[in-house]
Amino acid sequence: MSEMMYEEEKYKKIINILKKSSPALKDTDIIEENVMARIQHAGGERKAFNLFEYLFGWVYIGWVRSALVAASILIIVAFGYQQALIMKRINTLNDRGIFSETQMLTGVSDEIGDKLLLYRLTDGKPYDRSVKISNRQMRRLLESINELQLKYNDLIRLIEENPDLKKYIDEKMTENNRKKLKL
Amino acid sequence: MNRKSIKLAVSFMLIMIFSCDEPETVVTNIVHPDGSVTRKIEMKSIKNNFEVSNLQVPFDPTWIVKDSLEFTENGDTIWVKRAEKLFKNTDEINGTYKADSGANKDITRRAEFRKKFKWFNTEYRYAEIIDKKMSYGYPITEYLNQEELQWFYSTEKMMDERKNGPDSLKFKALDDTVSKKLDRWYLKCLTSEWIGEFTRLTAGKAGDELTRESLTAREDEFVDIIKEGGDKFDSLWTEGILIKEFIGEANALKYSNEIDSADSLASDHVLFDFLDYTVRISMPGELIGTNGFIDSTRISLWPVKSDYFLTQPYEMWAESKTSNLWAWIVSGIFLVFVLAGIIFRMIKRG
Repeated sequence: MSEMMYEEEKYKKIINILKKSSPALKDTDIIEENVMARIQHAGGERKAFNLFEYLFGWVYIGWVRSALVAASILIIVAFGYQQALIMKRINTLNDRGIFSETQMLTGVSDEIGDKLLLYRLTDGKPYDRSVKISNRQMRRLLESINELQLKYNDLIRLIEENPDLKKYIDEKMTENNRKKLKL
Repeated sequence: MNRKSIKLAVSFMLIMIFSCDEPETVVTNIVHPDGSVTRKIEMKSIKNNFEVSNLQVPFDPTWIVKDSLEFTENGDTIWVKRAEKLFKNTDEINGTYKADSGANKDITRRAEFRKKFKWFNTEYRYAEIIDKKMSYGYPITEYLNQEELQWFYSTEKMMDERKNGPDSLKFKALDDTVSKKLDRWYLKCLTSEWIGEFTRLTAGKAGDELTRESLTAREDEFVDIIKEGGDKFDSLWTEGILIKEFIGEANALKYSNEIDSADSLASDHVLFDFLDYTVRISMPGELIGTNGFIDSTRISLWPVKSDYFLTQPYEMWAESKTSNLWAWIVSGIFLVFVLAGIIFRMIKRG
């Protein structure tokens, strides 16, 4: 009996010694880094998952899902209907006769002036799609017209400033008109 | 006014008088997306006479003007005045129409602009409208068929070209038919206008035989009386014989004042000063509808003649659209988003 008590006392002493002596950790820095990396990695995975859930969370709500799908269908139908209607109207216009200005109006026309104005208004895109003309060519044409306009204005000014010249031109023009009338 | 006025009106209708001195005018409206309008007027004449009182459309010194002398393809010289002005909106244009003191001041004109946002596109509508002159006239559509109407609304140049073209005989015959029908239409309208004004003036005073309904029922009879009068129309009308035959001698004497007033009103509605001109409209974006002629640059064109707005308002309209690129992008993104959501859901459900 005393021997048994001795063994038990010895066992308790060993347990107490083991309890008091805590294990010494080696390379604590590496362990810390590993733990931190694992925590960060786990957090990243959670974040990516949350973004998709956040963006498409509505798919789990029945009425929102139905409403958005209905809105999409409505947009597609509205687009198709609108474009079909416009195409029909444009085709109707194309089926009608297209006339040149000279077929409809008498006398000389300022057609080039109108076309240039349209060119400027449409940011350099000629309306008639069959016309192939580069921006450079159009610029040159504009410059030529402007130059011609300036020369023409100079000529008119010269005529206005010189009464003899003006009288001469007036007479010539009247004479010219008379000849045409006789013809 | 006296009974001569109605005689003048009939003479005017039966013998169309054209003046060669009037300037040939083309008005071009370049409509901008914000509703402002650049208005260009091109006036051509064999004389350098562009007095405001001779011009078909409102014009004043605030316009940017460019005068020039040009040669026609036949070698004739003509004076050309080109004017341009930017109007902030149609109200400004309508203001000039109201204050117009030109050759066409007797008619009521207005411009309208409408812009409609339709998400994918924005639609524009611009119209120039001339109010009708007669209150009791008949629409021309009751007198001319579709082909004749097309001829009626053509420009002089188009008519001339067709009458001298390959199918000249066909178009000359069409022109004759339209002229004859128009003569009948003028007389019917004039008679109807006179009856309308006369019955309005005698309302509540005259007997049953002079009500609008009873006189309208005898309208054709009155038109035939006028036509039968022929060359003697002047004397028959002045002596009151025609009107006596139509409403009876006793009524003609009893309502002589009302007859004179009706003559005056009817002739004012028919015989008014007007010079023809041409209207062109250039719309923003793509042209999608118009009731005018279209040229190769998609500018709409209308001739403006007094016959067009005698009995019905004459509306010259054009519609266009511009695409809203941003709306297309927003819609596309939305559709992709919804589609992605549906795919996401399918993946999640496995």
